[in-house]
Amino acid sequence: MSARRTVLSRLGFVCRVVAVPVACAASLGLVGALSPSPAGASSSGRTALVGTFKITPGACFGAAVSGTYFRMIDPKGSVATGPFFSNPDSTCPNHTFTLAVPGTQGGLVTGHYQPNPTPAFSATGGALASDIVQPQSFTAIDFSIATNKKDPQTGQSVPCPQIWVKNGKLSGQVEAWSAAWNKLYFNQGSPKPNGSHPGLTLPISGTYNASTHAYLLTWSSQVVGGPFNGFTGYWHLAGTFVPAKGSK
Amino acid sequence: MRGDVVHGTGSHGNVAQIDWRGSEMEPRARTGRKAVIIALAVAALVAAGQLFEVASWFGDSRAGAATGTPLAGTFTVTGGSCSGGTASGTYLRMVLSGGSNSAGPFFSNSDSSCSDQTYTPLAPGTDGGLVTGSYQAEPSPAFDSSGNSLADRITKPVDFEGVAFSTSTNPTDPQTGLSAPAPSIFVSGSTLSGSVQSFGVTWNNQQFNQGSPKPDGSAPGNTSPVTGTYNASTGAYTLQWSSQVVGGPFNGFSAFWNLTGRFVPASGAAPSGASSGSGSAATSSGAAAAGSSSSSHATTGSSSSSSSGSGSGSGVGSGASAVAGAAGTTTTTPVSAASAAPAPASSTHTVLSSHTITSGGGGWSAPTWLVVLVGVLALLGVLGMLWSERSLRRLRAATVSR
Repeated sequence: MSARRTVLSRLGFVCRVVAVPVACAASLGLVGALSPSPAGASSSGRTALVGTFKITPGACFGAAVSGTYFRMIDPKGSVATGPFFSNPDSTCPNHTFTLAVPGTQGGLVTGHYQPNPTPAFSATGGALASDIVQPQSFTAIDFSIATNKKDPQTGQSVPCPQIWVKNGKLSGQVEAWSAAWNKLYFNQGSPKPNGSHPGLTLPISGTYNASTHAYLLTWSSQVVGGPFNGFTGYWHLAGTFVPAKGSK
Repeated sequence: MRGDVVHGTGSHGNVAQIDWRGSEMEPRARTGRKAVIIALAVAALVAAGQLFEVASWFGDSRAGAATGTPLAGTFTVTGGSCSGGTASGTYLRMVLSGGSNSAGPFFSNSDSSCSDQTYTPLAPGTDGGLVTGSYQAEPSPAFDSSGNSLADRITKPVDFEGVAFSTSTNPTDPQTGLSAPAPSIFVSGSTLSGSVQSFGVTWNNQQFNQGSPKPDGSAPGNTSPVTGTYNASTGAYTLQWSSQVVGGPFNGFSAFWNLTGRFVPASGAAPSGASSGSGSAATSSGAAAAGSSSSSHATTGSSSSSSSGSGSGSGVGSGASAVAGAAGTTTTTPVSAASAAPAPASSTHTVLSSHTITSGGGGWSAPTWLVVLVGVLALLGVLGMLWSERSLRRLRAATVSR
């Protein structure tokens, strides 16, 4: 155990500084997946997709919505039917859809963090994180996304995001996924930082086309605690996966 | 023009045209000058008085103070309703940070029954509405296990994005921890003003002060004073204010409150000198003394616990317009809480009708710019007269010396 702790500790350091993707697997206890396959293949047959999940901007065509977007579900609602929170700043006819625009790094990076900047907010409470997505107005206040080693809402340490593919199906964890808005933080990970799936929190699922690298990732995460306790965010990411150098 | 005097213009230039060499018109000129001086002095004093009142008004407005006759009792609320895109009755609108009451942007409540979901209709609580002079505190606990608000005295809890919210007034504001006075509403003519510093909202285990002014007396951002109208004949009222959330998760958001219904005086709130009677309230004698003196006729009728309809917001509006322009004396004819708004069976009000005559500061009041302009002109006139008088004396002395 002590040797394993040492390994994990080192991997944690690597994850933080060098951003080597295998470190995240180790932090989940998947030590067995470390040495055999730097490219991410594991003994379970799934392959870690290490790199950037570039996101296609969200778009609306009448009632149809495509690309990357977010919906917020009221506490008594369901992911399928809502009721959904209406964002008056949405550019869609249906304001329950809030569209995303890729950030400076193009999208979600697996294998390392994309943390909040310092400061994380403007004087008026607008979120300033812009690596994953560009800040978008949500009820007149910018919100954005980051992945942090320590979840800002719960204060718990969380692993960096990981996505796996097996037979064209995606799975993974985004415990570190955190929304910032009006000087508040809301963990929007799946599972939550303690590994649970409360309420409407659903695991990551999706598809991946190995030929085109086109992907689709969805999950939902219920807010636990704080002013929006019981609300749930539904995340729909679509785009193209770009492997990190040295990865497949 | 020689020997002529231009009277009463108050114009510096014209006054200077007085024939300084004297003539048979001189006594008349002197009399005219004196009259002008006196008139201008009076005008200056009046203007100064008006200016003082204006200054006092501004000061009061900043402090959130209100003037007039206090209305102690229950502002029973007519349930909100929607017809098409128009809301009537009692409702709430949440304004996004940086928005305005008139143009929004507004928060859309997915649980609103209105087609325009930026309006959230409110229904009367067990007390029938907002009580002035005392608190309607939130219960303990204030929330259920799901974060739904349990306060139900002023308004019934109503869903707001899947979580019930409600209103209360508390001696210690739950959000800020500051002491706040009980709500007070005043009537002057047909205009309402007042303070609802202790008015608060509970939602999802959160507390949001929604008072105006805020508990510390300030009026930040989109916070606007309590205003409204009051129909003395029917007791119909409308009350409006907005309050910006300060701190917490909705910092910068504000809510616009529109309460309509009928005012029911507290049973012990009838002014001294009330006399017993029956039936509907008497009409105003129109002979109320100036100032804030009042006479009243309180009528105690039978109590009722039945719900006899909720009325409509439009009725309030028409009632308010009926008294628009009334000056001086106001006749107040409140009705029972039971008839004013739907009330639960347990809610009874013994005061069915009463009659309060108040004398307020109704009537036309000069606009501020006009008052200031008159004051400045009056002062200039006085100074001009003094200057011309002195010049006249000097010239007269010079003439004599020649």
